[in-house]
Amino acid sequence: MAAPLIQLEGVTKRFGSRVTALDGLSLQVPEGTVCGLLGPNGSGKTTAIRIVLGLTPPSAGSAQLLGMVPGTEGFIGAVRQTGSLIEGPALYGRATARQNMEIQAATLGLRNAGTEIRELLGLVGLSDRADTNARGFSLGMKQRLGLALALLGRPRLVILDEPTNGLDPSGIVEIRELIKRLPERGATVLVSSHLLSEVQLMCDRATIINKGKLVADGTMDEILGSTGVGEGYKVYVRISQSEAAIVALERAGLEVEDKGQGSLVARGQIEDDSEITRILAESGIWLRGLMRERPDLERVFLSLTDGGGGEG
Amino acid sequence: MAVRAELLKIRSMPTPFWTGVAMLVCFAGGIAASVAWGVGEDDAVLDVAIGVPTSIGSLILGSWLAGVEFGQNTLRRVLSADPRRIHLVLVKLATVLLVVAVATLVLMLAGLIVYPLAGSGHETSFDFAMALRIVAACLVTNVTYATVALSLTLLTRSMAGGMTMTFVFFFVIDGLLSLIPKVGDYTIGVAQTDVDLAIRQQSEGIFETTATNSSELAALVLAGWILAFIVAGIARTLASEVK
Repeated sequence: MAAPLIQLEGVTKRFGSRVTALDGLSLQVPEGTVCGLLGPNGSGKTTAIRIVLGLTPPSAGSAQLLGMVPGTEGFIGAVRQTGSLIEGPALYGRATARQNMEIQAATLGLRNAGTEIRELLGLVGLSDRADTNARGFSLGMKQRLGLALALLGRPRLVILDEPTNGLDPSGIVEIRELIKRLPERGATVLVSSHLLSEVQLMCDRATIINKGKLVADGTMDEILGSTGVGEGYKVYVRISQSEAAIVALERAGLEVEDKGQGSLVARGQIEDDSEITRILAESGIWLRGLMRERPDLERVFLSLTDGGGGEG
Repeated sequence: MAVRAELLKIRSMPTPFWTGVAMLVCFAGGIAASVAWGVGEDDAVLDVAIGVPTSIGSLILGSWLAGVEFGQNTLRRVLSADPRRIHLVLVKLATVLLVVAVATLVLMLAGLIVYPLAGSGHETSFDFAMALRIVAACLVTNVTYATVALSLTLLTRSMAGGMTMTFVFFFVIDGLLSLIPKVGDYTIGVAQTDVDLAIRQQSEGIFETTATNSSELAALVLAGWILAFIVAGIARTLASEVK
């Protein structure tokens, strides 16, 4: 198995004597994946990213980016193969989108980047605004430009911190599809987002942290199955038969949640939907509707993070 | 390539542009003054129309090139592309000194050609040997201002803070330090005046200032101050968390 592109081992970060942003955090981002980094506000996501990029040193533990430790000679090469968008786009507001890209290309040491700059501005839908000052951009346009900056130089690893912030629904879909396609360009992606449904749609893996500690890490299927907040069925019966349906389903060993108005959610060891039909029919209850409820990241996240409340 | 990135910032944004415009306006004012009243004693037009504006411009540019990353909150982007902080400071310093030197030399060269012609209708003649000494003296002054401004901006981590501190340092703090007996002979201002007078081969400068130390000692003291500022700026950049 190839070495992970990002590796944190027992990383702790303290700010002063009172604030512990990260507390022994370990995580890995394997090559070729789109990995989500999730956590409530103040959980330490951005601090972890800043440590990976060498912007801030850990108080304890070690970080590696593309196998290189921040501060060592090879780390410069690792950073140059990494595109990042951290805490919103950092733009020279009085420079145009194209000039921002040219400045970044020069900082990265890229020569003759004109074609790539045009291509990337097109990719993020800013071709017609290439010569407009960035300070006149909407937040969504700034995010797009930030993403284009992160993709300059065809990086091997792309780190995106809340890349869909400020985007309208169609923009979110566009960016999501763009991020999903990045592995085709040879890029591994670490994306931090609070839009859990987006992360579920775009990521192969996820890492959930809370109060600076790792609470879950693995493939999306592993994460979704990690809490027992598994698949279930939405069961619709007549309101008058709700009580009887609950009794029948519970007698069959299922956990039942009454949503009211004849709507129930049944969870447990269910082979397929015919089993629900059979249990209810045997009790003389006729189904009005049955829908499979897939586990979603939001519920898993909330169960793992005590409702999502961070330290702030 | 790193210097090219800094040059692109200078080319792209309005503060350096308007600083350049202001210097050109002053240069044009020098032409008008030469036509009206001549080039002045000891080629004074060069000092007034080019020397003073370029020294203020150097101070502004030094502060701006370091402060633009704080003002635009782009330092994390720059360091995410190249994490070498000392390299970044040295690249910025090299860029600002290059721009300051080229701008000073180009304007001075143009002044050497244009001002004598513009002032030819007057009695005061243009002393080319003196003019070359003025060019050299201005270069030293501008390099000093640009370096100190850049360093103080790195220390304050703010463009406005750095610019303000540079003015306060040169026009207040340094003046107060120079009042201290003996120690005051080694301030940056005293050293700069001594070096300036030595280059100009004058015994008395503007505001009737006179040399305090030998030119060799003054040059050493000046270099020491500049080095100290650069080291302090680098140390602050290395020690700071990047927001």
